[in-house]
Amino acid sequence: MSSMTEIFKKRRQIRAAWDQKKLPTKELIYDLLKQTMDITPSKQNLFPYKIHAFGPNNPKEKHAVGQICTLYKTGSVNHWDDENKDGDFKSAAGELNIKDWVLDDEGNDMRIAPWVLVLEQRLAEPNNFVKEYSDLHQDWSRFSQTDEKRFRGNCNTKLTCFEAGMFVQTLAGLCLENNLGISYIRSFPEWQWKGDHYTQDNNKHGANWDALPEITEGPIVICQIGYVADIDDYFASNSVDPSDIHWENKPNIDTIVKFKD
Amino acid sequence: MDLLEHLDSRRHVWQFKEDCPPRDDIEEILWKAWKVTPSKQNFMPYQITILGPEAKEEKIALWNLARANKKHVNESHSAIPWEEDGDNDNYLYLKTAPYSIIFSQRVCKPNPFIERCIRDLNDHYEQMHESGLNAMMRTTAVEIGMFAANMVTFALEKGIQVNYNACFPSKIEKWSTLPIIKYNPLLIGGMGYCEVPRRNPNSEPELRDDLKPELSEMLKWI
Repeated sequence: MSSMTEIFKKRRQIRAAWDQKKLPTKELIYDLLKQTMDITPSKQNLFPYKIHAFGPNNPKEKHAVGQICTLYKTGSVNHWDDENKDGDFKSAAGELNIKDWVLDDEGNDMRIAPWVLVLEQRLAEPNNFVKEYSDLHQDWSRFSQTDEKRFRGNCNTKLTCFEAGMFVQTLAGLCLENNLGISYIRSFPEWQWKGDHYTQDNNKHGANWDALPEITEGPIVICQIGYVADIDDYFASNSVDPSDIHWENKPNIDTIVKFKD
Repeated sequence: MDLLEHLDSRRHVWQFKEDCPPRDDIEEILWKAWKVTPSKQNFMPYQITILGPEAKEEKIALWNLARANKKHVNESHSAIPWEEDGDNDNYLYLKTAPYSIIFSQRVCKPNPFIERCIRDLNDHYEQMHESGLNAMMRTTAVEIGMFAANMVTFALEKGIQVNYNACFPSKIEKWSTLPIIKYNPLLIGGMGYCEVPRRNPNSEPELRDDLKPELSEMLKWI
């Protein structure tokens, strides 16, 4: 197996196994982000997204992200909301209490990743190429990534989503190469641009992005990064064992790939 | 070679070589990307259509879709009278790529875990319904970005370059010349061996000006 395959095959979605004692430094996270940016492509090199990095010193903000991502009353895989019921929850394995599954030997909550990155849309600054092209056409709205009136529209949001997906997947490779775990979340209230303002729904518990005033444009994707504790992650999805209650197998490759010869 | 060095060898290609990478290599790249790309609830709510070396008419149709889109955007946006045919050096690869790629949305079937969630918890999944595809568009686009990035990683191992491009009509109604695509297309691209990269010694100076922003412009430490 190639070295690249070996790197990426190591990735697992971490839900309650973040090491709470061994924490990646800010310098390491910055270095990984810098390297990722150096090798991730972007249309016209404009990078129409921004990254908010919440680290070990931001427990309040990271808790807020957890609450925002509890989208449904049932189906919240990490059971973030069960603190409202003293930790009790129902599962396919019977009545359980969250504290029995997510606390380390010092009582720290292993669901909270040391680093939480929120990628949100941004209005990009035009580079020289964009300035010259716009000048030629006398059209300063040609590039939606740099146009104040259009950057929140559907077309540019879709583009931002592709590029953010490419960015986080490259970041994942670099994290895995450095023995860090990385998880992704996209279960949160979506923002919709209505021409002059955003709307967003509250989730089923009344939480929304207003809890994080730093986020001022539509969130695209969330990443969690940290070292992975050497324990069984009870809430991990298992794509190998069909008898596991958390088995969520992928569709077969022939379901998604079609050759036209 | 570490991952940084490996991915730094990616190039956007203006013209692919006529030599065609073996079909087995393309299948292996796709299999590896499929194997390691994550997906929300493991639905992978997208279809990847590969136009092979013999699908010449379909490739011309794809190139024409990109040109028509550029013509429309430039002519409708320009503040001065402007007419053009939509030609662009950045799209020529669509004609020369041995393999072209089209990512589009798809309606998914549930796996056993999801079936249980629907049965026992009354969960609803937009990915399974045609009416839910618009609501799933952003998630699908993020996931396609992940798959696309992984394809690049594994293609580079074989000396194959992968291009991507988001310039084409986004509504399926405009894709009547390519009826094999059933739902909204989200990303197109091409794969092959590089003949002429976009950034080369003969590039016009302005093409060397689209530099990345500094990381500090995009990153906020809290």
